[in-house]
Amino acid sequence: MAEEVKLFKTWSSPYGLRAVWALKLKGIEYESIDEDHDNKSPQLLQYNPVHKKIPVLIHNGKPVAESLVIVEYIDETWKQNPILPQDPYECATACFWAKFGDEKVLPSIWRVFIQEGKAQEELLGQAMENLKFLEEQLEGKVFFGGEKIGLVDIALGWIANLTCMLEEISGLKLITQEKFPLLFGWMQNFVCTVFVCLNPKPTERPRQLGGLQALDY
Amino acid sequence: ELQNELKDEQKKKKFFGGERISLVDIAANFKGYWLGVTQEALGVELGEAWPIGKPRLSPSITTQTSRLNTHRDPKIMANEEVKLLGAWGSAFSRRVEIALKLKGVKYEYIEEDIHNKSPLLLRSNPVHKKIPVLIHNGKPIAESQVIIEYIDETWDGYPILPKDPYQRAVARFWAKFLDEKCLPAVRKAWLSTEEKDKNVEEALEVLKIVENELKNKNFFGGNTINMVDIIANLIGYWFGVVQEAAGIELANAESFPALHNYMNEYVKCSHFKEHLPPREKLVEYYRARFEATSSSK
Repeated sequence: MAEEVKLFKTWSSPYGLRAVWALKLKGIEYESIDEDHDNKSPQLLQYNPVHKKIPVLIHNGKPVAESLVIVEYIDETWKQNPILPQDPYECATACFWAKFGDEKVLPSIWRVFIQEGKAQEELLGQAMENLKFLEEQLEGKVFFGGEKIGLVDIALGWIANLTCMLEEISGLKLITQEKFPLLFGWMQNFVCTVFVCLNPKPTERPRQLGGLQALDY
Repeated sequence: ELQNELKDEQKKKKFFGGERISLVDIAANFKGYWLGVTQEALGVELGEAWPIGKPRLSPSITTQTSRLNTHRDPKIMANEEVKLLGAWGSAFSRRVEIALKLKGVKYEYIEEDIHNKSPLLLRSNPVHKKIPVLIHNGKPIAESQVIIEYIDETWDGYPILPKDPYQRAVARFWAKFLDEKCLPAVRKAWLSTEEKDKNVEEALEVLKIVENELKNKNFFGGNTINMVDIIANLIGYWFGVVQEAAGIELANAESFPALHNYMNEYVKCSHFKEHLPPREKLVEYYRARFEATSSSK
């Protein structure tokens, strides 16, 4: 049966990009539908009535919502190039860190950049502590998934573009080679892999690290 | 009728063969073991007539059942060390116990004092320093939903998550919704003092979504429970307890009939009822927490 795969996303959302990376890793053909945040299509509202948000994956007419749920669905449906480890303990570990990324790291970094002065300094401590946990996880590894990109890399991919963009806007450097050498190296590896290796027809070299467009297609 | 015949035959005997296992006992392995496995796999209890581990029919059948249970998965169960760090009043901790029980996993339960955390807990979950933590053969796993999926992947038996990838995605979606949207919204409605009306309205919107999902269903999993129902112990039990402790009824039975039906069925369901903390003790606990919160403002 011919597969029909569609992805509702926006050009800027890091959550949408997770689904893109997973589909690209598996070599799955899909139709990309870019939504407008301020003017959501009737189809999106029909497919995700609970949250009314992207990303939503439609596979043979059936909708799947929530970016990490989508990534796991993609991994369980198409078996090539596994994203999650086979071993249950390693799989649980990956899910733990993906959750940590969304529930702790992302909010703590976001809060740092939207505050100023004394409030920012106080929030910085928490963000740094969270990043230290991630730094430890990269010991002896190229990616969080080991030799290849896995769930945690996809889940934390926003660090590679969003953080750099926020640093550029605010002038505050959070992830430097001195403070977080492994995380810094990971960001470079991730951008190169995602843009160069997963893009079958690169039209231009990846921009310097930073900028959301560098990691979209 | 057949049951009564068996009962008579069993009277005053340890096994069908008397003091020793005989050919009849071997043939009866269906009743002694496989019937229990089938019940568990289907998620259906065939009434009190076929109890698992309950000495209703005959003590010898119970003994036979429990003896055979220890040989169920020799590869996995032999030399297994399973510990659970939990807290009596925590819905997250109780979820893990439900999952372990569904799979028939023997484990050592360690009650943690959340105001005086043990070195084992701090070592096992250095990131969050919270319960529940499952420690399987020395390896720790934290976060209740992650633990439950781990339990489902590791041990055979009751399917906590469906096998089909799409059904699994639907279950994960609802589990996430309950913990990431429903719980915070409801908590805010009860605990906040500023913008109370707005927070209550938002909580009711979220609860309406839950209400719609539960319409015409006994459980989130349909006729049988699945992972979402385990996660929904917050809805099925803690919600009612906290309503009582707060003295605020957020969702009344007229506007939320499916939700109230779920709560009524939840406390009666055999998979859940033994994993619900004593109601009065829990109400008192939350009442004290609310009072502490309001007096500190």
